Amino acid sequence: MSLALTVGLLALMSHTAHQTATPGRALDELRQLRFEGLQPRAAVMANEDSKTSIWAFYENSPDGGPALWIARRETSSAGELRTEIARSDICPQIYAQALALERLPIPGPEVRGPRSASPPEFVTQPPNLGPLHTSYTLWAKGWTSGLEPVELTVFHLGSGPIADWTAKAEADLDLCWSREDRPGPR
Amino acid sequence: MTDPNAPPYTLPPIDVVGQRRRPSGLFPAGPGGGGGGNNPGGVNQWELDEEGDPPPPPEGEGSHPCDDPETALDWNADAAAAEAKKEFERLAAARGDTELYSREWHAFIYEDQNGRMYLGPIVAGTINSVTPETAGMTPNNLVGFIHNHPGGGLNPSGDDWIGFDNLYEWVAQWSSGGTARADQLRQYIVARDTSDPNSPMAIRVFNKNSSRSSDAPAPEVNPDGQPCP
Repeated sequence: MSLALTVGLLALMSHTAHQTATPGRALDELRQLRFEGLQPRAAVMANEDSKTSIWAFYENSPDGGPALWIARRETSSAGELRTEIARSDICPQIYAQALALERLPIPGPEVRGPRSASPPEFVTQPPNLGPLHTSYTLWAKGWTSGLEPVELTVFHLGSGPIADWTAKAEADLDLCWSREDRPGPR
Repeated sequence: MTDPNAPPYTLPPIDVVGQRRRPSGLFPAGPGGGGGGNNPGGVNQWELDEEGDPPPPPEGEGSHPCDDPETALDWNADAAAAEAKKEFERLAAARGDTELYSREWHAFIYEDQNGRMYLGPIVAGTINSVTPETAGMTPNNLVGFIHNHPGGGLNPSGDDWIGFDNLYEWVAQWSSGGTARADQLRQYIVARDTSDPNSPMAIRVFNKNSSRSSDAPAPEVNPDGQPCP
């Protein structure tokens, strides 16, 4: 598994023109995805094959009532852009997907590298980079135990926990989406 | 002032590292004469280093890159890349594909203990992606990888470079040669220059020192390159 975890500022990486976006570009796009004035609590960008999907999760508590979770998905493929909305009052499983993002098995920073604690006779396996020209980015807010706000950005290539989350979320929320201008499930 | 009686100055032989040429240049000659296959081979060309200085020219007879294990690695890896491209084309034809424009193909290039290059499993993907097969890969045998871009894109994509960097780190961490071994890693991209309708699907080579800007020219590998004898 190939993961790059950055807390705070994500190092901007140079972009060479091909199919996919870079982590730097994704970060800028994800953290500004406001919906009806709400700031996203988390967002995911998936560059898969010729399709780019951007998921954003918003929490709204109108009048202090029960939390309403809204998921917005923007999909661009073959020059077409499609924007869809799903709401937790119609599809409660949206909350489960938001929760799943909090539970992603994301490794901590490995500054010393994976070999640092391995015995000499240990035989390593090749890194699993997954499909080429495919990448996933998660952006979310977090808080330290000292109530210091941090921003988390996790990026990996075609194989990793965000790819797994995306595949499951695509399946679990399949019937929840409606076009952004037409409320209610399709 | 130039001595009018001095003999005419003769340029020393110029070699490109491996079996490569700069844009509009010629491929270097093979060790037995000729660049392999149908390519007659050109003058040997040395690449300039970062300071613009050429490396020392070869001395005397028998100074072909194949004579030195270090330079033979580049030579043989390029030949393996040429072989991979031919295999991609053969497999694509067997599937009824439109040459290498229908899907991506990928293979890792390995080196055995005798310095002989060989290809790992060749895998076919979609027109935009392919999942590499790492069976048989160790940090000590990995030399590089090759894949094609059906839609163009002469250089590695941003994700291709991230994948390269991950493999570099893995080899540097785990191989017996450490970073020196990782420095030998290279990636080959097979693509056609879409701005030139007459351009062929060419092999270009990149390593950790390659420019990562999209418009930088990269050396082109002889598609008919042959390994050292």
